[in-house]
Amino acid sequence: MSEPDATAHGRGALLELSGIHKRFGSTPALRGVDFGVRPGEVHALLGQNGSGKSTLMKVAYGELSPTSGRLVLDGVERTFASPQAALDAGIAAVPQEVPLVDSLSIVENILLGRLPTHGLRVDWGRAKRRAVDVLTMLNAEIDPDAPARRLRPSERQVVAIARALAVDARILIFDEPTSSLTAEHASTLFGIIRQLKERGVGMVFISQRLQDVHEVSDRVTVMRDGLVAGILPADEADHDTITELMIGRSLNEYFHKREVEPGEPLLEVEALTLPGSFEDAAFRVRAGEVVGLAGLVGCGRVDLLRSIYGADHPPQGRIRVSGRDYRPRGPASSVRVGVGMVTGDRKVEGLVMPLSVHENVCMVRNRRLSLRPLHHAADRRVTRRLMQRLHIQAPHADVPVQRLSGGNQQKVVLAKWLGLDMKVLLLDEPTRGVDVGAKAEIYRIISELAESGVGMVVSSSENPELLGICDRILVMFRGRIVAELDAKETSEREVVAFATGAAA
Amino acid sequence: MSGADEVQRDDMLPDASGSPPAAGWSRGLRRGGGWIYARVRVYAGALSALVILGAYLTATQPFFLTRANIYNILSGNADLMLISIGLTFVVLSAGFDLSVGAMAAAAGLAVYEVFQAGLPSGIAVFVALSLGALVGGGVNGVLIGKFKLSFFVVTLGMMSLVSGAVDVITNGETETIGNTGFFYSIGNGSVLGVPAPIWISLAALVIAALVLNHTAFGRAVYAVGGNPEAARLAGIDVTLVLILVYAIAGLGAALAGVVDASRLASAAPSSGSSLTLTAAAAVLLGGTSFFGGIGGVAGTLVGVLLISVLQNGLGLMGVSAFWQGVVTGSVLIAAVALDRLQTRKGT
Repeated sequence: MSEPDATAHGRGALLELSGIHKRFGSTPALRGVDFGVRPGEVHALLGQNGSGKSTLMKVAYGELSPTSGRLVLDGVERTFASPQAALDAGIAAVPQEVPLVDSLSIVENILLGRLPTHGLRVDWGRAKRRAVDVLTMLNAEIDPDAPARRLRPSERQVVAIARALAVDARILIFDEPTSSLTAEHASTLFGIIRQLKERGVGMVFISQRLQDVHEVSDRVTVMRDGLVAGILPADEADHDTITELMIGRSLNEYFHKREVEPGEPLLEVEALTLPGSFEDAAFRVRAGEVVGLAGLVGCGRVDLLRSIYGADHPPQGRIRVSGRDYRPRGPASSVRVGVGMVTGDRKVEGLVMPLSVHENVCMVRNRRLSLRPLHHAADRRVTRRLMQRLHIQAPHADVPVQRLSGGNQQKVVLAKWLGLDMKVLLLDEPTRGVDVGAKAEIYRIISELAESGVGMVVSSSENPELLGICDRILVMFRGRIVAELDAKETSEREVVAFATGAAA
Repeated sequence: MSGADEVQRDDMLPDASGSPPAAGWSRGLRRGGGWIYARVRVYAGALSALVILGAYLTATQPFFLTRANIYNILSGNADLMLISIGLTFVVLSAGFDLSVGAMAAAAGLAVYEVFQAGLPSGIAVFVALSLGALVGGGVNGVLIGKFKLSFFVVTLGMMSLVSGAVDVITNGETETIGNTGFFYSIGNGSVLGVPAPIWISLAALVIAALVLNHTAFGRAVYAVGGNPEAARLAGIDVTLVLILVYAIAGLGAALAGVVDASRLASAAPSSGSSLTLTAAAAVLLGGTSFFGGIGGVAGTLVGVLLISVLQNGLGLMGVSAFWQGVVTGSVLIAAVALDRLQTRKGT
């Protein structure tokens, strides 16, 4: 393993991709990209969906072969026919969803396909020593004999990393590793990444979350339209710079921050408590207001939104909608009084994947189980209008939503609630897992809704987003609202301080 | 099955837009509107198999395409059609009802018992149909929809319970029903020269198609089958949808039982036993996904016709009845395998 050499650019690089072109049929995905990883470096790779970052990495770990361009590993030009060949050369990919055999032990999973043998017999003693070695190297307290199904999501990733280290991989490519992890599990992963840095392992970190990038990376490359839009040191990579590089335009066009004079109180919440989730929540949302809910994962903000909507257990306390007392008894009753919820996990709660865009868009509209004939023509007009308004990109309205990109799917979730005269909209992570282009569209819609007098509560784990689109931000910590901040005057630092309990 | 191949190939072409360029007739269909294409696609394979089989039988069996034979096929399989239509609702909601065959037998018995009590045939039919809807919705549907029990366990138990009860009451013997006017005509009458069971199937089919495609309840069945949580959070009463689909399955089964009892002038305890699985095969062949949310009764019609014509054709060709199960099973597995390949490309 060579010594870390962070001084020279290019020279001393472990892996160097240069002039990479990749075409799919007539569509260029990569148009001459240079990218390198040095020993002991974490190189973050950012970009919108379709910018080419995944394609580039697939070229690096042998999943795709480039149309043209050079791949140099340790100063030697190489071509990989398969991910297996790349792995043998020391380049390993840690995928987003880690494929483990749930019924097999951790030892077998780490050494899958390469268990040490003694004649025909598996040498279990040596296998276990090897597995324990790499787990120790990662400071992971995982029982090597336990079946993989008992692992938590972050531990699954540890096992995937262990699998790569077991074959002495020197380059690890992480594909959005934190997207399925809680904040706590993500910080465990970051700890491991730091250790690997010290061992001289070079890493590529693909992510859509800017916080992650600041947390671990040394350099940041931003891609756009199959080209490198910019390379910069991580400490210069602030949210605004990165976002502007990703979208290729200025931020003023990004958050469509508008000024609306707040009207009547639409949603008033007092002493709302759900034991074990949140306590004594009180706030008020007026017409045209956007109120943010910030806080770490597990602080109770999602439960708060869901219980106001009546999605789970009814909370104790008092809720008033447009001045009238209201007890949520279920989503149907909430919709009746004008409270809608844009749900968080679109695959689980938001969309019926095999059904068409049209069916999903009209689902709330046609929620009542009536046997009267539907107004097909009117429904079609509504769908067409909403698809135009939200710029939902689909070949036609009858395409199953599962065929759309994440951003377009999220717009469909939002579209379900538009044009129904909802007074209050509760939005749970309205832009999770969508690229910045789609984010900009969603912010624009939220702003338009505020202008039309809807009161909104937006729960988000992305603080810059809350600062950009909200009027006020409520910060939750361990089930309590600990601060109410004016979005214009507060800062990300202050929000984080309250969210982590550092300020009180 | 060249049609199926066509659909398949066009789905395999990779295209980032998610809209693969189509080839041949399927491109024409797509141009004709995504709506038609999306709907026909799921049973295009079964439909082309039916057309080819029909053409083959027409060419080789002179008796096949005669009015008498066609009426015989449609009328003799009205019970299968009615059960399959009801079952389609349940399968669309991502469930299944194993008790439909037993319920058909129970409905026949109910008719017999009401006759024994000296009541008129109109009441007998009403009692039988209500019983089916009540047991299906009130017991199966409530246990599955409200108490969240597994549909497999509930309907398996109900199948055993109902067919056991029928055996207890009849002592395992076939009861002969004295056929009278109205009841006789359900299975044996004809209107405009077409046998009544065909009219009944046709009416059930049209009503089911209208309900599924043109009412909010029908669309809710699809939503619940595709993602019950998303449906619930959109304000749809998921419990009620599930109760209603099992009620519809029970109703369809009871109607099938009544038609059979009339046609055969008897109530046989074992009459429905093979119907459940044949109906499952028909629904599946018709492209309705067992994962819920995809399919419809148009496909079920194609599935029922394919199985019926297949059995009729084998009979006409003098193939032993024992072979019919083998052929039906092979066609079913082939169709599902094709469907699997198709959906995998689609996602």
